[in-house]
Amino acid sequence: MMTDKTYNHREAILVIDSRGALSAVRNHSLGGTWSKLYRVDNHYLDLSLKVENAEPHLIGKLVTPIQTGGWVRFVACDGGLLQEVELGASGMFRLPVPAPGVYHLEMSLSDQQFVVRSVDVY
Amino acid sequence: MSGQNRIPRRLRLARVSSEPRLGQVVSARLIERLLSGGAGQAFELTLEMLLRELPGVEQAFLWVRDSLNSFSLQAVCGVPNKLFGQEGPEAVVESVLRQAYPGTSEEWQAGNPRLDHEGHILTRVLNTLPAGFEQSIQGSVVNLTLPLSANRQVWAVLHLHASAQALNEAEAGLVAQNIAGVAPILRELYLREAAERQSLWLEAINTLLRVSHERPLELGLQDALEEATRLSGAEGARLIAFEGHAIRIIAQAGWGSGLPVEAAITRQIGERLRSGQQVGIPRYDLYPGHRHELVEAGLRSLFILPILRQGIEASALLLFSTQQHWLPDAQTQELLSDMAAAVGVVRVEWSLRRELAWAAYTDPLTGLGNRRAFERDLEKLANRTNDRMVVLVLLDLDGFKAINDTFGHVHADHVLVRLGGLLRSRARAGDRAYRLGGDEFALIIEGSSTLNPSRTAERYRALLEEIRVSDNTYLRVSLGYAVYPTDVPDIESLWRIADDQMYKDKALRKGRSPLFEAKQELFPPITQVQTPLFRIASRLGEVLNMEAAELRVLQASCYLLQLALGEIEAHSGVQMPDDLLREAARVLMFVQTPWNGSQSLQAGVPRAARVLQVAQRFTAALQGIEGRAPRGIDEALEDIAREAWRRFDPVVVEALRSIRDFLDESAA
Repeated sequence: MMTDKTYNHREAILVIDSRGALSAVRNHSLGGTWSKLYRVDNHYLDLSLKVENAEPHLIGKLVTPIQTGGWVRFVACDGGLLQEVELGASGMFRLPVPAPGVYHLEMSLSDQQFVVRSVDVY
Repeated sequence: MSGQNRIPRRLRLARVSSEPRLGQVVSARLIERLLSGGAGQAFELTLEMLLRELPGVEQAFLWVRDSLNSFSLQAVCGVPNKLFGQEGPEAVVESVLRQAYPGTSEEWQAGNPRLDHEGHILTRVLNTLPAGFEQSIQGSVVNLTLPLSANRQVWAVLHLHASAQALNEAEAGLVAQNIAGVAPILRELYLREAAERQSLWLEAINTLLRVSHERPLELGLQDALEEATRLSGAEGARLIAFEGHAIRIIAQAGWGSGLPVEAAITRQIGERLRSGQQVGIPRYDLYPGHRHELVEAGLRSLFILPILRQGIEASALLLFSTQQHWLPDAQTQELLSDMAAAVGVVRVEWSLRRELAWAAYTDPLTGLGNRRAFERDLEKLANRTNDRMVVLVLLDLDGFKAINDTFGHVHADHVLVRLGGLLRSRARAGDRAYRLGGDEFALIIEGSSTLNPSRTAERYRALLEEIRVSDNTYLRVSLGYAVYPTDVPDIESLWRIADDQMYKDKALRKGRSPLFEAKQELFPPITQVQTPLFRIASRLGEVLNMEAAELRVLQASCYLLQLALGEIEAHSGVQMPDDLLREAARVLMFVQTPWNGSQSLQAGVPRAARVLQVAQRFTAALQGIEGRAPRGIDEALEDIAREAWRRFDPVVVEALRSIRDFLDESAA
């Protein structure tokens, strides 16, 4: 069951979503990789799903006015914590995806906490 | 749970009501109400009935599958719509709904109802309650989740949210039983609407694929964009092509016609499109690279589909809206992809058709229209409704076979390429040039009555005669023209008359005669000049069987030469029309050109010039040249004969020898 820990977090707004066009997927089998850009206030999260060595990975880069460090919690749909990683100096993080499904990311920065919901991996 | 077998009050105590009600048997009236509107209305009607029949149930939600993997919220009851915003919540993937369902996978697929007491159901589906969505139920709550299954696949999910006392297992079972009665109707309505929507898309796509070749492709594309805008719920659409770093609009429809919406495609977005990715921008105003003028104009969301096709430039289909979060749903995205593919196919087909038409109507060597194009255009002229003057000029290259034989086919082809380039680049606007075959060319010239056909044709001849074949040889051109309606009463006769004229000109030029044979009667012979040179030259012309017109040119050039040398004075009685003057001047241009031994390459030198050379040399010899004593007739003839084949045309020298008696008489 999903915990209610994130209910008070602000939700990141999806700004741009690009993925293999259906026609291109049909014709060229590009796979289900995608790239999304989220925004909360002046924070931008550039999140991509990439397949490396047949393993799907979420690769993110947080762009903030002042890089102050922080943590990323990778949460399953039922609320279970899968992994918690510290943001690198460049604001980058990399998370292996265990299986297809829907996930959430909780971002904890020094001055801000927000959640990225419905990160779909198929 | 208490009251396991309790039947809901309203379901237990059916009463006469004007409102449709749920029952174990679906009434004809309910069916009639459900079928009276669209699927959306039927969904809402069903939820309203549930809330009315089940006191304590506060809210109802119906999720319906809209693609292979996602469900969208199609109806809500007991909640103000505004809480979900104008577009409602985003679609959720099936696994989210499945995770929120407290039963097993088998129960999910079988469509078994399950109750839970874990707070509001939406917090598990959406992970949060929408802003302003406060729980209205005090105390403990219960959620009923009822998957609606058909053919072992869940096609919709019903959520009821109630106070804990309002629903128990028995009532959940009854709800499931009752919903099972209307679910097939709801599903059929929904599938029918989806099929109708799909049918409209397919109709639009088929219309595009069948677009008439008689009208511009852009109009067909615009129709398709208008349909795509309407069916996808967008407000505007645009089809663009990438041309290097520039973007060209091919067609557009709907809102934003004056707005450079395509400017929203930044370099990064352009790269994604070129790599075959589609791009959705639900909040363009939050996009870091947004253009202020587009946001100020109201642009809020875009969906961009790449169209990648070999043979034409990359292009993209844009759909956009002034509403935040507008993006086509998964099914619409798929249909849009089909339309984008159709756009690509149609553009490739038109591109190929254009190339085919170009190849079918173009001479590949010169780039001019070919004979097929010429015949087609003549036919069009015959069927036209206006009465403008039409001049058909036929051109034939003189001695082109000799150019081929002397310089080779590659060089000759270069001459033709140069000719084609000249005609294409220097032709008057609107004049059409064709290569009819070999060294035959045609020009169709349309103009007003002020057009001077002769001057225009001669201008083209002069243009082509600028083409250098070798160091001292230029292209020579015979031409004929005919004018509608002056020369011929109908367009069909133009070709025949122009052809006749061209062959007459060709014959005259082969005989070193000028073009104006048809007008020769207008020019009286020059009889006023009787110098020895004039008499000998005229006699030679007669011996060489010169036509009257060519003879006039010989006489005129002789007259001009002696005038220029100060040997005679201008005679007022001599008529010298412009055409005659020009031909005579052309003869004088060649009068110093020596015979070079090759008959075939002399095609450009008028025969009158050869005659004048010999006659002038003979008369000068009799008078004494460069301090030498005057020669006798035989001596002069022998001198000239020695230079035959080297300096003088041997045919003319022979003709001079043949008039030995005449020369005696002239000398006497």
